[in-house]
Amino acid sequence: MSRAGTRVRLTRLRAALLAVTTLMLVLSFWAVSLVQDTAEVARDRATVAVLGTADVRTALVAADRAAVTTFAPGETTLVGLGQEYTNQLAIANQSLARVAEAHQSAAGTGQLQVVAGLVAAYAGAMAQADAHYRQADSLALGTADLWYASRLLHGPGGVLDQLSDLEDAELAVLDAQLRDGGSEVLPEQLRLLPVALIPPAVLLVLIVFAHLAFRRWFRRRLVPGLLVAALLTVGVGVAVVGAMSRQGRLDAVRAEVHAEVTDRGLRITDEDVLGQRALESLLAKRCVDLCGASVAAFRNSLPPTPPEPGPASPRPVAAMARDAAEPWIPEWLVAVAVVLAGGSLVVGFRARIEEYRYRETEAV
Amino acid sequence: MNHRTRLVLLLVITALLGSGACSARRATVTVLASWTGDEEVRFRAVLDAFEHRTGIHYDYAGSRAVDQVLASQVQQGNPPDIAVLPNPGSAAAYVRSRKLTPLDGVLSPEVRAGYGPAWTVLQRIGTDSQYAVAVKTDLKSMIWYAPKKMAEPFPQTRQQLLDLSARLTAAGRTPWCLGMGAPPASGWPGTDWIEDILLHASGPDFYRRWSGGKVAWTTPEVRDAWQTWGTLVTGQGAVRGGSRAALLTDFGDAGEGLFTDPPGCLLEHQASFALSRYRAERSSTRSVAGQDFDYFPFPPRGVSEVSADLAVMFDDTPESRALIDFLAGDEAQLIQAGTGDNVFSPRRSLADQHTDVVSRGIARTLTAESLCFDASDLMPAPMTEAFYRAVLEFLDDPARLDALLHELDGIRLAIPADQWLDIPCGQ
Repeated sequence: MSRAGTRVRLTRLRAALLAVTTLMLVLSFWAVSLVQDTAEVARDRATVAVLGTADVRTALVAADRAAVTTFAPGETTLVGLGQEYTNQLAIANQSLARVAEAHQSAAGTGQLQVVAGLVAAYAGAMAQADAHYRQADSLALGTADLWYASRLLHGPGGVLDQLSDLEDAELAVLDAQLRDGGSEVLPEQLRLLPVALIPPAVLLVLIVFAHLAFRRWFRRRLVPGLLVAALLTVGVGVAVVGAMSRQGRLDAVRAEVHAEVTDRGLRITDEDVLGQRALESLLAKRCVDLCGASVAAFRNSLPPTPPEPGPASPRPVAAMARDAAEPWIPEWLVAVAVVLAGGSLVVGFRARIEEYRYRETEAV
Repeated sequence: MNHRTRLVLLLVITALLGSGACSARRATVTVLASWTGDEEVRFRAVLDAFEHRTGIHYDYAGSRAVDQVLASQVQQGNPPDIAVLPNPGSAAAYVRSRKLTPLDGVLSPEVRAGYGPAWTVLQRIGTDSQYAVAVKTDLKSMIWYAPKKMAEPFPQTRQQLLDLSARLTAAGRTPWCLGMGAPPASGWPGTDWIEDILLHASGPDFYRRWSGGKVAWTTPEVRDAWQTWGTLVTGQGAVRGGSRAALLTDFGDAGEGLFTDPPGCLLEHQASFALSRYRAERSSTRSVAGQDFDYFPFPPRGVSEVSADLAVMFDDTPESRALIDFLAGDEAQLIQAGTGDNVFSPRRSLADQHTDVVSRGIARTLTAESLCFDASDLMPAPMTEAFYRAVLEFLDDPARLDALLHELDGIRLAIPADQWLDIPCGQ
């Protein structure tokens, strides 16, 4: 083998190693960042939007039941709508504001504005009911206003319908993000994570090949630069594997959010039926003759009275999302490791290439 | 491949990726209307056709609380590009606050020429410029009945209507189907009653001045309209379930009494949109217009009360211009009308599209005869809201009429003169 030929081979091998190192820099940084960003979106937005929407539904159903219960005796009331109604309505509005900041679904903004408008109309109808229930001669109007408020909440296209649709849309966004990690432009990115393991694996093979070549050509047992580069490459591979294992945590968060939404949905339904049953009793007291076709249809559509829901035991979804978003390894460290690996490769080759360049010059 | 070729290739790929990302952000127009359920389905069909034709994506939100939603969006500085409002009074408030864009240079001449004089005036919303397009209209001066269950001659005068109602009540038959529930605007079916009685008793000129805030609510004519309605619907046995049951009955459910056996009630004063519910009443054997249900004009005939859904433009963008021009045209209004004969366009060219005799009669009235617009829709929002509430209070306790009229007049006097719309009536 001529000296010039050896130098060319060395240069080509180094170029190949550096090209793969560059690819490793891009893909490993992308992989670690993608998992981290997805976890942070899940923590800060997706779970907040889904659970916040469930919070709004829970609070509104509780507020409605509290108000109906206050008016249930069918007499004038001194306490008005009651503290529980006021508290729950405030919670609903606060939760709505939280959802407005966190929601991600395409139709979310419009739906939230519709919900906000309907909740304002609902509160207005409740205020009218309250005003009439304070006067003995206008209890019928008070009952009508209570009915109108209930329709705004429960009717087709009403607040609860809108919130259910919004919850479904946000859940779909969360599913897409935690399962696929994609965006509108580049969907299903998380599924491509294993691709990020290819460059470290290829680089390791190339480094071993380079080491063997150095042994054969220059009788070197150990090349420190190559050794350091190999160790750093293993480290980068471990970082990528770690990021991939984080994806499992995101799946767990997703499953937990679904379970929590299902649990809450059942509780909301029970609480809602109890509130609607209370309204039915109140209407039965107030209607002298008939309540009309709408109330009759409402009565016929009511499910049987469920048992009183026990105390809620929420799942630690927020804590899980927080844990999943704890950085496994800073992205910059991965980048630094790759750059150092590249530098080590350059250093490892430098002496040999310089040596051959010198010999060629001497020969000339 | 040399270095320069590689560089050029890289740049081309980057540019292609960039253009792909840009094209993912499609031009979108946001739309807000009151339509939900079946009405939303029909309107979405119109928007789909627009999207198909122009490639402009749409984002639709529908809510019965459209006024509240829109007010909130405008307050936040985030109104929709296009809103479809059921009341010109709300649109007028946005015209005054300069939130709406005039459509004079936006609509094509062919589109503008398709509307009759009455609709053209309404679309100006009391100004010299066009600010709205009527995309759907309804006839309100009509009383529905089931021909197979009521064979009485149609009343030609108000007195004959009162006599018919009294005769049916005396015979133990409940004359009126009535429902006031329409949250968050419960009470409007009652305002339609008062308006129709007043329009037909006192004439278009008086009606115009009253709807424009120039006539006191305490005048004998207005009081008489309320009392006439009270005579018709607050007497014992006059309304299915009693007048207080009407407070709890949704307006959409009231008419089902026409179709029960024996009939729960025999007459319903309701707008032309009731057609779709009547047709659906007997789902197994679809009710046939003209056989299972029909209408007679509110007596005395000659002038009709109507309402409209008006599309207005907040943001002046090429996309919203394209949509409002499309909404105002024949194609969109034909799609919205669908095949059900239940939805009516104000465009003259579409008056003969309907297939059954009932729908054709309504369509011709809406495009030909002298029209007056729903007064409560023309009034400023505080007056409208008070009118709705007064109707509910009156039904609950008719003895409160004097107090209610004084309250209403107090509200009228508190509203500045420039907030009232003066829309010609009956021309």
